[in-house]
Amino acid sequence: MNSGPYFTEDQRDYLQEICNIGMGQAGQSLSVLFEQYVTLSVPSIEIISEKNLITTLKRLIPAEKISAVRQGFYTHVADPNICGESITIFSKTDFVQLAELIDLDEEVTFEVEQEMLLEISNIINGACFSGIAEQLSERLFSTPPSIMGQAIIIDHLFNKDNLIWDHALSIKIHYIIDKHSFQCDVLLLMPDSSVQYLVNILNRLIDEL
Amino acid sequence: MIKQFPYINNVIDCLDSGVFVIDKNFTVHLWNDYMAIRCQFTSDDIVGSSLFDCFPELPQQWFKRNIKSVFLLKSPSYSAWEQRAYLFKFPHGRSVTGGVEFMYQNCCFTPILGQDNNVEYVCVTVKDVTDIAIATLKLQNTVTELERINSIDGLTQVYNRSHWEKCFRNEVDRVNRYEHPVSLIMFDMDFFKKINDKYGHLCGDEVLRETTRRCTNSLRSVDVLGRYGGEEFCIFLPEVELTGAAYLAEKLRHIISDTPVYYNSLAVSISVSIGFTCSRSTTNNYEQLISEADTALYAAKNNGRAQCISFFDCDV
Amino acid sequence: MTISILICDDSNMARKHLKSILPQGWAENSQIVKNGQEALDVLRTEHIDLLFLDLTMPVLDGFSVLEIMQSEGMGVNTIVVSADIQNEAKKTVEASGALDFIRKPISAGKLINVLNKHNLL
Repeated sequence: MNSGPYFTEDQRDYLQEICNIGMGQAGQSLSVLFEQYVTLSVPSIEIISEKNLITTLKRLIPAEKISAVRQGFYTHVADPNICGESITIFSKTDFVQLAELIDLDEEVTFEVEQEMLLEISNIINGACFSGIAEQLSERLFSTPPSIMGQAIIIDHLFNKDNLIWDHALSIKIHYIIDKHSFQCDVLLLMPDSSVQYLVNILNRLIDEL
Repeated sequence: MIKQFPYINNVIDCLDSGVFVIDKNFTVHLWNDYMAIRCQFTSDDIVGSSLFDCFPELPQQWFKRNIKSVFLLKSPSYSAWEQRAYLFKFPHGRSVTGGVEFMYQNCCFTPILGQDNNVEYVCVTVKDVTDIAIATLKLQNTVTELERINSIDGLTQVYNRSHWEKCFRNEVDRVNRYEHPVSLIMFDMDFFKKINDKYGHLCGDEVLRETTRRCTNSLRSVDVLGRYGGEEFCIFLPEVELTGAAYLAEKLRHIISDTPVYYNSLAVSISVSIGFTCSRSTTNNYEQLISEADTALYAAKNNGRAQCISFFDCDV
Repeated sequence: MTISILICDDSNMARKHLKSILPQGWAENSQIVKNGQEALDVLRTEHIDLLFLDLTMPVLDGFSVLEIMQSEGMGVNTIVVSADIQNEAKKTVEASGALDFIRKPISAGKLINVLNKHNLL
């Protein structure tokens, strides 16, 4: 028996639609910046337990090596509020092509690769957060992005001791830019208390419908 | 109407961070004291001028792309010291003890929206993170050094057993995934105890050091040598099949034992016994390969030492 | 005059929401489907006056529905309601014969404006 939080069909559906709109806005931002069409997919929503985090991530993102960027987000600091971390995971990234995509004519060093990852994550998250926040009638603030790892295996993404929650909400958003080898997934992870608060907001919105 | 605090401009000048404002043509509209103190431009000098005219050394293309995205997407963008140590060549408080030339900086580019909800200006903040950067870099160096020490055998300077085992486990995984071969050589110094007893432990140490030196010089850079136990060593050879392993085992045996080791002008004759094996296509198991090389090594010992034996020639 | 409506969206909430803001009397004559394939099944067997079509959907997406409708010569008035708000998406659906494009989230005001623009009211 899963004792953690769970969503009813309506709640999940509503949240999915909210994310869909948020990711649509992020896709628009990316396409303006890259001058390329960005293929979107239906976002998928899951509750992940801390115990199964790595196994779940491996299932969601079946890539041998990944690079990841973290960015924190939170609504106004009150109790309760929404807070969490967005993790943008890049798999199969061809940095030379990516550099062409953003018109970079520097040499693509390790630091430049990192900077590209940070920049793209920041753009996606910025647009995604504001889209989702608007839907929830909340204001989301975010922290600067930072690199979690570059070309690492998923097992090394988290320091297990730092995971002080039992369940987290994962919202997987998938972007592909057709002609270039660029593909990334965004996971919005939120701890139990935020998930509960989010459920309350969703209930209110569903009732208003 | 809310009365505005009258000294708001003084507050901007009191900030312990650089703050300035530019428009989309990179013309400066505000420049606080923190910035003025650290470069040759006061607010009066620079307001109204182009940022790039005053700071030609700024990474212009990068800067322009960043500002463009802030205008376009109406959301902040950042520059972090880990990827870009600094934007401005500013002095810092660790000029004597820091060991770095310029202030490490984290910068934030935030949009300022006008009446029509479009971005009119970008506010840039420059934060001094020199202390954090120095501490982080020092920690990184320490971790790297500790990892190195933790993986090296102090006496011979080749990988220690636990690190070698880790490398070999990864290699076996790789071999099974891509169906490439790997060979494994295990060798043991013959009568090492006698050397220790006769010439002393310092001489024994020199024998081990010289043996690993001779090995290292004959191996490719992808071959991985480790000290497995007291006088026992392991080498795995990626992409090498059994015939290659047999050739190298014999070569190593000669290189190690053809010349005596000199210790305090004493010539100490040494020899080694070698066992080796090779992977099969996909279902290799780490323990299995180790045990095969071990079996071959013992066969070499039992057969009179100073020789190489393949696991596939052993009676099992 | 009754007008037959088909709403195609994978989200139950989006379908409910759209149905709730339809002009008075329209909702009674509206059907809902969950993906592009289901939409085509209805369009091939029944007369539909107006289709509200989402783009990002499982099974068969909105772009493909428009393409198939075009190749089979189904002249159904279609309004795309989508979260994919890229100019490219808008251009593609308009080239594939859609009447108009409404970005999500959709409001009653936006809907009425678009319906007025195309004399559908």
